[in-house]
Amino acid sequence: MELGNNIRRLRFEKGDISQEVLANGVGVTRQTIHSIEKGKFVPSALLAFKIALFFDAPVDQVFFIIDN
Amino acid sequence: MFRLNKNIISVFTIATLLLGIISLLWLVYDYFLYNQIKPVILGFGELGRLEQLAEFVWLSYLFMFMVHIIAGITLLLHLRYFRVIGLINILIVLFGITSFLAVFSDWAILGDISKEYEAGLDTSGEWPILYILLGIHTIFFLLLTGVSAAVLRRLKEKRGEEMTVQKDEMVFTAAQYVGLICGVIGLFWTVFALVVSQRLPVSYYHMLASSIMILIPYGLVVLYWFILKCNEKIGDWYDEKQSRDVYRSGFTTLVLTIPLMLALFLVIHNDALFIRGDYFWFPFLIFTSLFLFSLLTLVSYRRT
Repeated sequence: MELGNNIRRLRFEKGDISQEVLANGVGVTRQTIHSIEKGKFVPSALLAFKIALFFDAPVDQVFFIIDN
Repeated sequence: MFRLNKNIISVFTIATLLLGIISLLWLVYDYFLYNQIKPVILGFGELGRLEQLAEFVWLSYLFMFMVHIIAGITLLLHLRYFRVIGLINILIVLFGITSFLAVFSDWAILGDISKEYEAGLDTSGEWPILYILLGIHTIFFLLLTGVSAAVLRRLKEKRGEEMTVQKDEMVFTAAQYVGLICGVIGLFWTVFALVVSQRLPVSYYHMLASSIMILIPYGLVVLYWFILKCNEKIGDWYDEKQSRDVYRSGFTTLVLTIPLMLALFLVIHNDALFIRGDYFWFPFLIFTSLFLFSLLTLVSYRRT
C-alpha cells in the first residue's frame, strides 16, 4: 500500500499556488512539499492535516491510499 | 518566524562591495611591491625604503582576513534571502574558502622569505607560490564585488517586495555544501600531512591548528544557523523531512566510519608498513564524518 495525493492538482485548482507558498503556509521547506507530491516522502498525520487545512479540503480529498 | 530585513542585507552588501574594492586595491599594492622587492631579495641587496613599505603588506593581509569573514556572513545572508544556489555561489564559496586559507599560507610564506633573506638563503621557490595565492585572492575579490554589485541591483528592483522566510532551506543546504567542501579539503590535507610526516616532522599542534582553520567556514555557517534558530522552539529547528534526512545520514555516517577507522588503525599500527603519526586518526575521523554526513544529507534531501 502506498499513500497517493492530489496536492499538485489542488495547487493548480486553487489558483496556481506555488510549492513555496504552500510550504510557507504549512511551515515546511519547498523540498519537503516536492517530495510529498512525488510520493517519495510520507508526511506525518499532523502535516497531512495542515496541508488539507491549507486547501480547505477534507484530508481524504488530498491524500488517498493506493492498494497495490 | 524570522523576518529577514532587506535593509540589513543592503548594509552588509554595500559594506562587502566597498571592502572588496579596497581589498582589490590592496592586492594591486602587494603585486607592485612584490615586483620591486623580489629582485632585491633574490640578489641579497639592501631593501632600504622598501622595508618600510613591506610593513603594509602584513596590514593588507590582516585587512583581507577580516573582509573574508564579513564576506562569508554577507554571502550567507544573500543565500537566505534569495534562496537560490547557482554555479556562481558554488564558485564564490570554493574560492572564498581557498582564499581564506591562503591568507594563512601568505603569512607563513612571507615569514619564511623574511627569515631566509636574513639568513642569506635562496627564496626563489617561495615567490611563484606567493603570486599564485595572489591570483586566488584576486579571483575571489573580483567575484565578490561582482556578486555584491549584482545583488544591490536586484535589491533595488525588489523595492517594496518583502520576502518572508519561514524555513531556512537555503541555510540548511548551504551548511551541507560547506560541510562537503570542508570535509574534502580536510581529508586531502590530512592524507597530504600523513604522507609528508613520513619525511618531515609535522607537529601535533600544526595539525590541530590547520584542522581548526579548515573547519572555520563550516563553524561559521552552523553558528549563523544556530543564531537564526535561537528564536524558535527546538522542535521547529528542522521540518519532519529534514529531521528524517539528518537522522538517516547521521546513522549511516556512524556505520560507515567504523570500518574506515578500523582500516586506518590497522594501517597505522602495522609494523611492516613503518607509518608514523598516531595523531592523524582524529582529523581523519572528523573530516570523514563531516564529508559523509554532508554528502548523505544532501543526497537524501535532494533525491527523496
